[in-house]
Amino acid sequence: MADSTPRIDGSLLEQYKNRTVRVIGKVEQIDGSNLKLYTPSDNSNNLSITVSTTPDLEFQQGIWYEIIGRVLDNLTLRAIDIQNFGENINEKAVAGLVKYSNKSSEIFYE
Amino acid sequence: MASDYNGGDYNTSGGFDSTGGGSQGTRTQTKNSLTPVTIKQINDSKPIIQDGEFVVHNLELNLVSFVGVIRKVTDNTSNLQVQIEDGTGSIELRKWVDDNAQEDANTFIRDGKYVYVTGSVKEFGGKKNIQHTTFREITDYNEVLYHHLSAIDSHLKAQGTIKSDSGAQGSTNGLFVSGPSASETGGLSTADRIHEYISENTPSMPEGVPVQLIAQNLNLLVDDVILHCGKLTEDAKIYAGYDENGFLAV
Repeated sequence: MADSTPRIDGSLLEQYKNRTVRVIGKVEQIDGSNLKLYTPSDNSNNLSITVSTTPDLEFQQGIWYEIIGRVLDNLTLRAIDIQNFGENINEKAVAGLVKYSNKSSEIFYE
Repeated sequence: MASDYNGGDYNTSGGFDSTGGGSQGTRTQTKNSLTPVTIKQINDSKPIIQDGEFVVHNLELNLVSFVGVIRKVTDNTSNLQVQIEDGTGSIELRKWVDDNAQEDANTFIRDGKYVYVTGSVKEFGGKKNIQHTTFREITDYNEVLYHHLSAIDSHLKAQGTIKSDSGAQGSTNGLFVSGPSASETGGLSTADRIHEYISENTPSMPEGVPVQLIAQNLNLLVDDVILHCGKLTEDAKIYAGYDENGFLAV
């Protein structure tokens, strides 16, 4: 299905180049139109990725977001749409969802 | 009931009654359970028998729950036509407007909102539809994560890869804990864990417990499992099942 967006974390960017994905992470630092996003992962510790954003998307430091975005060639994520997930998100559940949704991809994406 | 089916009267008018009774029987059984799913599962599901329950990957869908983001709302006065997307697919459904209800009952149904939806799966003209829908706004977004994890859990139970009754506690933990925790492994060696797993599953898998399944459940590499199974076979603790890919405990 064209509108499915695999759930990934920072460790999987390479595999999803030029695809639209969903990433859940916490904003660590905002620097103009770029921000550093911490993505909990089962594959590695303290993984942050760079997200490029546009003025119409409102980000706040320390807040969790679900970002729908496109993985660019330089492995940054270009944010297309965001959901504010608030301050309290279970990191283990985020990492678990990425891991297990990819293991059971038949119910998430083709 | 079984004899009615065996009568093979499906196409006669007499048979119609018996099939009607039969489907009612199965319906009352499944109606009680609310299955957490992804939208892709709803869209992929098909009835195995005509007018029967929708099934996807061995999982029966009747009453389902899902979470997703509202992407389009069309107000048709008597109802709202709502398009919802959850990253796995999208589906269009209707929310009937209750004239007598307070006006703000549906205000949270608007673009970009995360909602939790329940309803029963139906199909019209090749398109999936959800009837008897209820909507609830999501305020704690951990619910999105937990819902999808629950959907994976029920999916895997339907595949028989994890146990549904006594093993439920352990398997739920399995979904939430990143690696096998100390209590889960109980200080056992990898070989012991493989042996234990094969022993547990031998009664239900007479053709052999597949090495892939062992690897997946114990979070090991298939090659490692094969290696350990070789040693366990030499120790006469297990033996090869139907073929070399599956093992049974002695």
